Amino acid sequence: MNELLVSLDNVSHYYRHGQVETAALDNVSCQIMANARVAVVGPSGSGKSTLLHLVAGLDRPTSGVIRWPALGSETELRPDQIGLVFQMPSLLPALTVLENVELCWLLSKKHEAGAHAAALEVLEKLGLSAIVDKLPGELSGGQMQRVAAARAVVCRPRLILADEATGQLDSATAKRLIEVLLDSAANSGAALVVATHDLDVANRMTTQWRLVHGRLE
Amino acid sequence: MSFLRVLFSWAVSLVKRRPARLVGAMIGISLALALLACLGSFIDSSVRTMTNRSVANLPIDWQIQLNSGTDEEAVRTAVRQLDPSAALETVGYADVPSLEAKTGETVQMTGAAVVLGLSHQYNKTFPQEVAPMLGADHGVFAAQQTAANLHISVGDTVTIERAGGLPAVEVTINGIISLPGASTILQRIPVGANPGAPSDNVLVLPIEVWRYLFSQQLEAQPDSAHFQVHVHTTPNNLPATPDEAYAWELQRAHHLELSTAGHGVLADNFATRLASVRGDALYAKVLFLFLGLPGLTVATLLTLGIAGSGAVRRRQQQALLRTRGASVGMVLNLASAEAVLVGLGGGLLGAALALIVSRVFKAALGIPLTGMIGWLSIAFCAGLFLALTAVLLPAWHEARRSTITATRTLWFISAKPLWRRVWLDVVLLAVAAIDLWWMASTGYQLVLAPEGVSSVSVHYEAFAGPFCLWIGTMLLTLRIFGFMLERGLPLVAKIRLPPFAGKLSRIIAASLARQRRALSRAMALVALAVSFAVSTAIFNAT
Repeated sequence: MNELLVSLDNVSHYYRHGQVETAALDNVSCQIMANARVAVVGPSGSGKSTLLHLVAGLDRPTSGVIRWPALGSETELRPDQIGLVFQMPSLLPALTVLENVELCWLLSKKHEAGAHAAALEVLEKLGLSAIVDKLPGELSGGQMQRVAAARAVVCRPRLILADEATGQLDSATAKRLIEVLLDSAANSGAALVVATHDLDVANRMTTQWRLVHGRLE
Repeated sequence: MSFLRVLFSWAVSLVKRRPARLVGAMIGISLALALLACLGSFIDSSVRTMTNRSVANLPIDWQIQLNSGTDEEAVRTAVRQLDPSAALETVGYADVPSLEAKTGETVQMTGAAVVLGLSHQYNKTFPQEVAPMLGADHGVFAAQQTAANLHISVGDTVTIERAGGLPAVEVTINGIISLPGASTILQRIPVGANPGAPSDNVLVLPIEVWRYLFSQQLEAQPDSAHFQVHVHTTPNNLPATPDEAYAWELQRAHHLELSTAGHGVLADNFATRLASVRGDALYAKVLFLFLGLPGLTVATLLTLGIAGSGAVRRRQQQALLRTRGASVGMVLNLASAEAVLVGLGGGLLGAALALIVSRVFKAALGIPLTGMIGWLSIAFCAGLFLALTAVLLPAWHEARRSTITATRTLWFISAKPLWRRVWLDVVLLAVAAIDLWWMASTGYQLVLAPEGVSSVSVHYEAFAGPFCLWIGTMLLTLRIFGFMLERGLPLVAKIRLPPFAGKLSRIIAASLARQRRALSRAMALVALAVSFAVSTAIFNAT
């Protein structure tokens, strides 16, 4: 089913630093369909992260309209609809690996009883079964990024967004992480949008959007 | 030079990027500092001004009761040698069996009475002793109560029964007076001998008349009449503090007693007043200990809490600096830039606050500006020390003990501190209980009131009880809350008691349990404030 998940119409976003206004996105229009595999590529500062943040509903555009026809309004977006993997893992330091992943499930509309099993399952897939009781401060950078990926996909979201998720990983780990994201998207029929500099990662996607100075080419 | 530039840039960056944290720490320090400066200055100035204020309104400084046949001039000379500016008055005292007055058809008679002989200057030298109420300024006066007892007024005649078998004499009343300083002017000398309330039946005669009427009684029955020399001194060199002033006065009185030996007996009202001021000063110190010190402790702990709240960010910054090759000394210098910034800012803010408080409440506090300078300096140094302790000590500890990697990591330390392992909280509470029981069993009271006169009796060992109670309560709170957060919360989460967290209760409980140390500290601070408040309330009530 080729369902429309997100649509952006003439979206622009500006950052203001004092009197200086910088355009991060300039009049961008695009659509993300269910099952889409999109790589957003472009040089640093081209607006990739801004685009993903707007799609995730983390920020609001300066002008233009964003809609989530299959996901609801901006205020209704939940982890079971959109999963996010950031460049930095951003795990909660006082929670264990398992609790960090479970938290995502518990914040969604899913039933509490399934949280533990779902978290363990996804952690096992990512090869993290041995460290479920560790705190983020005790993990390596690669382990933390994989936990962040597990957190993003545990709720089987309709849309997975990964912002430079493999940027700090070695090639083998990066490849494994992308495989997990692709598998998870395939299993749940989700769309996957990846912002990346890595051509290998970009080539695994079916569509590539190239951003230059905030414009889609 | 380049390092100074780095130091300057670091400080500027802190001001630009972390203004809220810096201002928060500065405000905390300034409050503690202002509290210390105001309290210290207030107690100091109170104790210092207490001496002058208490002796300023003393009715009669010295009363020297002359022995029978003593040369009055010798005593006057001795006093003038000691204090050339002293004002002196000779007063005659005669004890008589009764006073009698006839008004209309009735005759009223009193019991034993006192007839005083005062010079017409006496009222100017000792204005607090005799207050004219009715009639003339000079002549024969009856005290208000005596006039009431005898039913007499101005112009009536009173018969004085003289002692020693002498015939009675009659005097005409020219005025009615009150004796506001009766307890002084009519006190028995030596002080403490034959204590009792001053006589209600008092007549006052001009000293010349008194000498005329009672010189015979003085010869016939010497123990029924005598002279006193009343002295108002001008203690120019009186030390400011009550203790020193008391010692100074004792020395002065001792000199007088030596030089008037055999001539008379001294009642040193000045020393008696200073002795009571010493008690008041002691009471002020106790007040400071019970009211000021707890407040100061809470303010200090709060300040340390605020200043230490950026510890994680600071640790990570210092780790980054060390990664880039900064030496331990350099890291400490950069950390001290923040500490000095906070200390100086807090110090200046606190000094300004203390000055504003002292000016706004000038009438109530009475703190002179000069008196504040010393305490402001002490408080300023204390504030700087506090800031350096809060920032530098952890930085030094980390730099000396931890590796860079360990410093960058955010750990939730689970090791039990030493005080928990040795049960220091329980030991302190036991000591407090024993001390309080011991003090109660000995009937110790801070303020004693024998025969209605309150005095302060301080046993410093009595402070050990409240002190141990405060510290013990704080540590016990840390233990109990630590235990509850560690063991109790997960249990509570399992049975789904927290009504607000819903399905997140287990995760929130786990998170709180891991942050139990910080949470327990905050709770302990509240417990400490409460225990201070309870101790202060008990102190005020007793």
